[in-house]
Amino acid sequence: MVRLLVFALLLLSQFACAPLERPVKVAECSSYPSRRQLLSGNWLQQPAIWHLRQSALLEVRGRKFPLQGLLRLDSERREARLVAMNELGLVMFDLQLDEQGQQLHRALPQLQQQANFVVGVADSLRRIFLPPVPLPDDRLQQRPATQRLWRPLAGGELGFIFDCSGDLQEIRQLTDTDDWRVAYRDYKNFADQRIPQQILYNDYRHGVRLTLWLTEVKQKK
Amino acid sequence: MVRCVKSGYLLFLLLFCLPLWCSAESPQEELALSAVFARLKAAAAQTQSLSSTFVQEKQLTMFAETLLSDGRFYYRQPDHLRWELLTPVASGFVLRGQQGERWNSLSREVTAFRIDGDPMMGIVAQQLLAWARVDIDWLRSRYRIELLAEQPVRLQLFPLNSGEAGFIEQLQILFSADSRYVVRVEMHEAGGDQTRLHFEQVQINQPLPADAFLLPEFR
Repeated sequence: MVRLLVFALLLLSQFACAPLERPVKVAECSSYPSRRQLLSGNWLQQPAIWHLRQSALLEVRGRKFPLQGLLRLDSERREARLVAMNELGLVMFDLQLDEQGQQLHRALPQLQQQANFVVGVADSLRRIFLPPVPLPDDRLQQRPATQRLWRPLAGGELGFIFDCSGDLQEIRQLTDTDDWRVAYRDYKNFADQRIPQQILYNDYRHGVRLTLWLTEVKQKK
Repeated sequence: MVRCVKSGYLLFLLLFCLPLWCSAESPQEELALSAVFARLKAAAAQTQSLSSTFVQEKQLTMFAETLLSDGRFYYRQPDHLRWELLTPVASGFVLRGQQGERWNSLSREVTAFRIDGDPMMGIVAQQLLAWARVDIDWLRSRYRIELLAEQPVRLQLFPLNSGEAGFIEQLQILFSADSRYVVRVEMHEAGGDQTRLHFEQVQINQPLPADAFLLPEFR
């Protein structure tokens, strides 16, 4: 029993201390984008409809679920809809979400019985694609290689880290009730926007990790 | 009250029994289907191994999008499979009997599974094995089958299981002219989406690569 408890604690500490796969760029900034540029440059804050084809790995308390899917993101209405498919192309689930909640339109019978799975996916997608956004009155902190906008929350704080070019690299929320981080990596230009090709989400409190690779990006009118 | 019960009974008959009566095959159709099954079984009995490339065409009606992927497929009797997507992301699985491994080149993850312990993979593997083996008995145990064309053979399959029927409305399977292998599978999903699998460059009973049922070396 004690051995089991020690093993569980070790497993938990693995999640709690898990580093991001790749550290934030370390090259020092020769100049810093302005606060206005930081607020206006974030693709998630621009009104647009995106179709994002993606490959994903969802890890829930150590269990791994590889997924392929297409996500429709309406950043103006702050809504997202993910259709996830298996190797044969069959739809495994169809999940729509906004800031308030989610609706499972359909799911394979095997998945319908796993309510935690759907909630885990929805929470992850919400924090990645419909996250809290930086505000004009957030506090600005300059570091050698990054800038950080942040604001205090009840029992903690919420921070947005930008690199020298103004690309959002990370959102981090740590409060009494939440402990999560989203890292946006490998930005590429697409339709006058800078879009990350890899996104890593970690919910340390619930042991949920979602890694996304965007394999095709389309902007819809 | 009696009238209400009677009309309820009539409604029940109309809703549930009429479709069954309508879909029942005539003796002539049954005979034709039996002859086709016999031909498919005889051809499949000659297949020891099979390899092909495939194109997967996914139509998502809600998004008005067609997603294309391509890959390759190996089968060796009785229960070895390799289903490998090459684009847009190299990923797939190999199956050796009850056990297998999935991989994804982006996450660089390999996950072992058993089809009796992983229902999701079980569904995928059983479908692929049934198509590769042309396992008519298995298909008949899972689907009501209608014959759409005799030459080349084209079958339409309706799930018997209500859980599966809630997800897949019907499948259509097109066989090669010599009835030896499947050329195209269409899966029509309940939500209106469709998946088409086109099998190309099919080779039967040719030597397979030595590593056909092993993990790729991407790590």
